[in-house]
Amino acid sequence: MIAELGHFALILALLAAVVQGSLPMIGAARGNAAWMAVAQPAAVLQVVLVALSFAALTYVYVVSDFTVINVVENSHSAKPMLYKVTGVWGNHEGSMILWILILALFGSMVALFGSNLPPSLRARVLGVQAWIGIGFLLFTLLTSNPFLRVFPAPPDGRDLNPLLQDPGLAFHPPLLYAGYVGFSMAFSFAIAALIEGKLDAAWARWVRPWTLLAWAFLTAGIALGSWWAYYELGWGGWWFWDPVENVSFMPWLLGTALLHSAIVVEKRDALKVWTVLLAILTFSLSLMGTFIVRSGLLTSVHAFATDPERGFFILVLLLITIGGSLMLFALRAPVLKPGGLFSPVSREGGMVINNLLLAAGCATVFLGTLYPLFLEAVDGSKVSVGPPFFNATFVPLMVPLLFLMAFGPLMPWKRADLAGVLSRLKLAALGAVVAAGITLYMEQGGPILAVAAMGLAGWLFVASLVEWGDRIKLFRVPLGDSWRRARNLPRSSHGMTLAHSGMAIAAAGMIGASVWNLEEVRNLRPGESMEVAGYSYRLEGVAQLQGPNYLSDMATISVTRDGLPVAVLTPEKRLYPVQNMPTTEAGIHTTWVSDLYAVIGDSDGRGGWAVRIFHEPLVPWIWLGSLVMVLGGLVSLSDRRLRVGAPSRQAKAKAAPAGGHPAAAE
Amino acid sequence: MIFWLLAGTLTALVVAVLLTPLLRRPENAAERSAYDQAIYRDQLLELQEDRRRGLLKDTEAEAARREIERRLLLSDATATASDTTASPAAPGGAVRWLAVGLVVLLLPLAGMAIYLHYGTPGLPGLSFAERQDGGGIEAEMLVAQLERRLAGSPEDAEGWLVLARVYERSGRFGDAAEAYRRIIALGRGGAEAHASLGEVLVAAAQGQIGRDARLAFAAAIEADPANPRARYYAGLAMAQDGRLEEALTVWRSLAADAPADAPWRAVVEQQIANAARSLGQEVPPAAAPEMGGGEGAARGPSGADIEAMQALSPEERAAFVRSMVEGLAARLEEQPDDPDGWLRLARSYAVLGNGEAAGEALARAAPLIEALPAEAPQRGALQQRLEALRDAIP
Repeated sequence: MIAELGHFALILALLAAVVQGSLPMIGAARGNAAWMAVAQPAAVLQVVLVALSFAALTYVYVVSDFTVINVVENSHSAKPMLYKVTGVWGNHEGSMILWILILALFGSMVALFGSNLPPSLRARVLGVQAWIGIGFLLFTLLTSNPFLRVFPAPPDGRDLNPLLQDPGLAFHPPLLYAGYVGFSMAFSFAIAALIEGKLDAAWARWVRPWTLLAWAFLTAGIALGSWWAYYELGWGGWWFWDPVENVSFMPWLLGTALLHSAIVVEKRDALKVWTVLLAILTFSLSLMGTFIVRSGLLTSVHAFATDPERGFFILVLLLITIGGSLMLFALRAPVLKPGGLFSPVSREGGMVINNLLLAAGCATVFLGTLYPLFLEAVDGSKVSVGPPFFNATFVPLMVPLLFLMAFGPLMPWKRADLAGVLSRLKLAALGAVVAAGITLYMEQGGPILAVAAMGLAGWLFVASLVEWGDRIKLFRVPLGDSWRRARNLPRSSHGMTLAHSGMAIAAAGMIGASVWNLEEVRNLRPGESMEVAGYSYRLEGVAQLQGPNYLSDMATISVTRDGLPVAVLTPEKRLYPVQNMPTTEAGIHTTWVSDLYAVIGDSDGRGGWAVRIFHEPLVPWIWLGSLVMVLGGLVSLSDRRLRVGAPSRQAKAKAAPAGGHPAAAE
Repeated sequence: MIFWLLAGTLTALVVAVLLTPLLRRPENAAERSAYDQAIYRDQLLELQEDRRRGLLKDTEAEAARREIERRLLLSDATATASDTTASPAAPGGAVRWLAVGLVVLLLPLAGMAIYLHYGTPGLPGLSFAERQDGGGIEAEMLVAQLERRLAGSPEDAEGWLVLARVYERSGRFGDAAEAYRRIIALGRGGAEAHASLGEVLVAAAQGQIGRDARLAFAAAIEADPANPRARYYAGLAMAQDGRLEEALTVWRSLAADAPADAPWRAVVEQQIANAARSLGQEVPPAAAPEMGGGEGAARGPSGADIEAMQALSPEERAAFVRSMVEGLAARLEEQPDDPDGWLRLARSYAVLGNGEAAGEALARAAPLIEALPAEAPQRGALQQRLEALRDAIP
């Protein structure tokens, strides 16, 4: 009965979304306040209903109710409880419910905290939000319904893909979805503004925090996904330019651009039309990210749904959303009034360059990801676009971006003095030289490009701190004064410093990991050892263990350096009998400067085991940097300025001219 | 009933919440431009604050202030020209009642229609804890453990035999065939192994007796011309080729050789009766035995049983295996002096994931094997199987 209630609640959510997507929209067009007011309770209802549905699905997973087909296909009675719960979104149908739940949560925030939005804008934003919800709810109910039942119930389930039975991947989808769906807010605001034909001041104030929140979630989601790939796949890599990774990276790139252009809209009332376009494109890419992995175009661990009916539905949904919103943009963008002016050398100018580079980077990733698919669809030929393509196209675009990132925060709005900015960057230049010097010393040479790249990371890191130090007058006034100034600084400033320096840390990690990574494979018998990068790895033995739903060969490898013990690594090779599928669990020890990474392979049947050792310098910095970036986003989000009071209702009750279309009147 | 009550309550709640704003007299909203102005004023306050904290130079602050004030003025100027969001006059009654009607009537109706189309209202939930027939993971774990042990000691023919039978029981006929081939390659198992290989190949081919299966049965007959299973299938192969007369000859000689209490006797006689009927021959009434249940089912799957199993779904097959095991258990309770039977029962329980019952069956088998005279020919083999099962059952 619980499953059926969940099903019923989902259907009610669809109907409430239909009401929310129609009455307030019509009300806003016709000036009917009562119809517009329906949007808020409807948005709150959405959350309640979808949450009920999600709770029901979670319940049937937790108790292993095998009368529900979705549970049979993705769970097993012997699965650990954590993965019974995370298995709810570890499959296509359940993940759609999670997506819708997050969408509804975001919508309800507008309903609950949007009192400073003009009523018609709020009604329209919620209306657009409901349209997205309708699309997803219909898709779920018609083609991916998780509440379908079977009787008699099979004796047990088929278990969740063992690769997904992992804490890292358990929380990767919710974060990623929160990111994707967060961009729906910017999208809804953009569409609502296009329909209104007016970009209110409130519009800019609202778009930035939502974009920021979505961006922080997406950053965390991508970082977690890459971390998972790093320790679970056992390949020693952290990014593979796999299409599935790329489709989550594209919205991140455009979202980062949007984040910056939204600041310009908020502060300077400029770049408005461009920001609207970015909002539309970012969410379109998020939709692609959600769907392309399910459309059957790509095959990977993520591709749980490869069903022609679903593929067709997805295509239509994408076509309506992306095509429709771009068409609306083409028709209505000329109506929007352009805003403030600025000279090319100014903070606005810096943001424009940032936007151009990020958009170009996104375009190359887009091409590299979709061109092979397109080619295969047209004439069936297969081309492989791998890391070489992206290294040759994407990386050169990011180098100037990192270089110029140092300038942006130092430039004032409207008009900047380039010479002054350059003089303030002397310290950063020193930082670059030091970073390059340390790299040269540590690696005794090394590729010159890599040394220069490390210098670039040092440059950005120091420049970010220079800007912050300047603002609090560090070392120029007594430390106590600097502390007081730091506390007075708006949180968004701290957030920016954190995010930019996090980027520098992560960039250093990426460079180090791709240039100085070492890999060695050896067949070892217990008691034998191998040397990698000055560390000695000794295979102590391999034990056969039994987990709750898997069997494991766990190797014990003790690591020593110059005879001193460093760590004991326990890589595992697991077999999940229900799906008859092996997985690897890498053994990792981090020194924070590098990772020691061991994987155990197959036995040669004569007492020897294939042992694969990776030495990964600077890899931990990638995730450390990402974490700092996310932190920066959250600190910036907590800025008090984002809270704007609503206008008082009695204010100047001027008699307004009756009738007339609000958009036409603008 | 309680479901409909809850579903109805939920629907009523949704309708009520959606109706509230429609039935309430709307508050007069502030003017459109007032929202912009509130934000501009807010920005001015922020500016003052920033200046007080010393974050902005006076000239910068002054420039920013002027810009914000310019926007404020502009917004004031457009306010007179622009529309307000809410027309002050409440919309006419007709429009309001239209919306109310849509929500009150259409929403519950549509909800019910969609739900009745996709839902399964009558089907109660069934949690794993409430069930008696649960699968559990023991069987799969057992197989995986056995596989792993055999990967380390591939010479263990007895282990392969256990594994082959477990595969066979769980419908993995291809894997079972592979395991029987191993046993044969190890030079063990004799005619029985060949016959078993043939049998799983037939099962894998949905009852069709292919070339490999025929070769296997031929090898079995070569090893032991009296092997009843191989002879039975040899006959079946002829029958499938349409050579009914020859098949009948083979089966008749098999039936003649069969001990009176042979459990497969009934199956052979059934086939003889069928073949004879197809050829238009007289069927002696005594040769039309009843099928199903009884002894035939108790002694493990016969050819006909396997044929019957081909038609079943995996769930039904599991139920069928379970019923056979129950039959075996019942027979052993009546004739407990059968160490081979107890071992088979233990293995079957192990496959079904019932470790406890498997252990009990082993405990019944052990003293019987002990009691066998030391020179008894089957004693060594039974002892080995006992050990293998003890290892395999946790």
